[in-house]
Amino acid sequence: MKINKTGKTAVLTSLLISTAVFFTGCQDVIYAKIMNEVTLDDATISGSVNSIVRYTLNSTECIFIENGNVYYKAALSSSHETWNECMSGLSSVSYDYYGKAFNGTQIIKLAADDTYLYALGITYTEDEDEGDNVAEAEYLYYYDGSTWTQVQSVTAGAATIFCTNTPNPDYRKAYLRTSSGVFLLDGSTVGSTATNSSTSACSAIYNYSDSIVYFFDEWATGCNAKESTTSSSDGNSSLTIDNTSGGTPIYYYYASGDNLYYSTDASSFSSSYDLDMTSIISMAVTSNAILLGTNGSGLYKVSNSDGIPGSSTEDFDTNADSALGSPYRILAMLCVDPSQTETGAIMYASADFSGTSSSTTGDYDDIGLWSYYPGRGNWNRE
Amino acid sequence: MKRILPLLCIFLLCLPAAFADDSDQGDTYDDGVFEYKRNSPGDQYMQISLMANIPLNFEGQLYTGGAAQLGYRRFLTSWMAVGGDVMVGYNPTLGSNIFNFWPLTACVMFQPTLWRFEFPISLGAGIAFETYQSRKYFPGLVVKPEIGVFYRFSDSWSFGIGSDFLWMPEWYSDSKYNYDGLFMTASISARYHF
Repeated sequence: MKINKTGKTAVLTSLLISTAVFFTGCQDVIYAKIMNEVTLDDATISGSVNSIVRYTLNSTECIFIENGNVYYKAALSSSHETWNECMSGLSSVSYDYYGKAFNGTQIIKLAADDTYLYALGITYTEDEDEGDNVAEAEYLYYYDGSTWTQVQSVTAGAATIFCTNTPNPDYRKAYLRTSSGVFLLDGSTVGSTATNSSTSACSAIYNYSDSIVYFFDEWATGCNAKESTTSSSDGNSSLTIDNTSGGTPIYYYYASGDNLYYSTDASSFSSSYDLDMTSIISMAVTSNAILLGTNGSGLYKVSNSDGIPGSSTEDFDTNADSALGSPYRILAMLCVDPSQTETGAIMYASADFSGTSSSTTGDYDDIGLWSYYPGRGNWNRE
Repeated sequence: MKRILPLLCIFLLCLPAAFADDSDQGDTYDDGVFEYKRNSPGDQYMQISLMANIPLNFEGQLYTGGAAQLGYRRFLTSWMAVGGDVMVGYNPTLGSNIFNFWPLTACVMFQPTLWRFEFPISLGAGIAFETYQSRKYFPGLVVKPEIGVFYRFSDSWSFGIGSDFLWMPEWYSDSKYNYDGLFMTASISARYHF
């Protein structure tokens, strides 16, 4: 049998296609992830949430979030329930159509120390020349457990607030960063410039061994300390998360790009893993896993073995990546009790995405706060 | 190993073309007997289809979606043709995500006819590109039997309905993730014959 010219071309073409297919193949798990999906609840906290912070309100540990307004609920609440609004002394943003003016304040960031809760708020005005709504002014507020009070105005756009967010309220410190530097907050008082800080700092870690706060230019920071963990200055010489000799060491984490750094000393990070993924912008630490929130690819996970993270990402024990995958940005995360496991901890994550729903496959209904409760057993809209 | 089947399919489906005879047939003569057939060796058609795409074994995790397909056939005899299809389809998921797939198949078709009605029965195989969120699976095997009934409106056009059965398995080195994706389609189609 003679193979003609057309036949040779067909064989060569098929070989070329086969070679291309073989070398460009990728086998991500798809059907199994689809089978992990759950029916989504209606969201109670919608909109972009930039902060999830711990704050003790009237002796009760609470979780505070903002989505323009401020809401809270008890930290140990382990079910999808109504959040309480905390806007006493503030008014929500609204538009007066006939007066052609914006009223109220949009809260864009929260921070807390052991006594006060702080908020950064923006007021808006209408730019009639350009037809845009533009930021008019930015203000810092503090909350003493009953009402919000304005501290001062800050430079719009350059300012942010952040905090150590430790499970133990004794080590919570809050900071204001402006173009002039980083300042410790204390109620109505803005303190002096913090040492070791830069004008681009946006997160802070409390170091239990020397009782010093270290600042980072990256958003994603974390620690495996739990509520009962104490500092060496409080007589804890073993420096483990459970204050016992031979216990799990205190580890600190931060992420820069797709590199995850870890150390037992927040002043110096010499170990890291390149996780080969989208930039990490948030994290939540559990006793057996570290959940990583990315800038557009949803949630990822590395293992946590006595504080030491795994060198590569691995599959979740939950539906986390089925619920929050691409194209979602995970703006903030919190594990209420880092001594609990990935399936035993109460966790929160806030999601949004850039672009339009049709161009990204993102769902506008998914923008807002998400949660994982052990009793529910899955990640879902909060 | 998981890539062997798709590669083998590509190779086998291209193989018949290697042995096709396109040489001149030499002198021919007319014996005066002429039998008219709507489809003769060498006839071709293009087909476009729009279809509902129904997942069969996803236990409610995938919803019914849609798909579109462009096909080509060339008749080797009056009742047998070979060709290929390119399809694009999607299914919404329970968690408000989208599963997309792009099968590319080669096929062999047998087509009995009755008066102006034609009954294509095809078997196709090839590769599929599948995506979900930022996840990709490529190349995936796809096997696609297809039946239909068409009304030959004219020499150039026929219209009809059909149904595909799609087997798009995903295989992994960790077999706990292996899954047979089974889908059924219900389509309306138009064919242009030339």
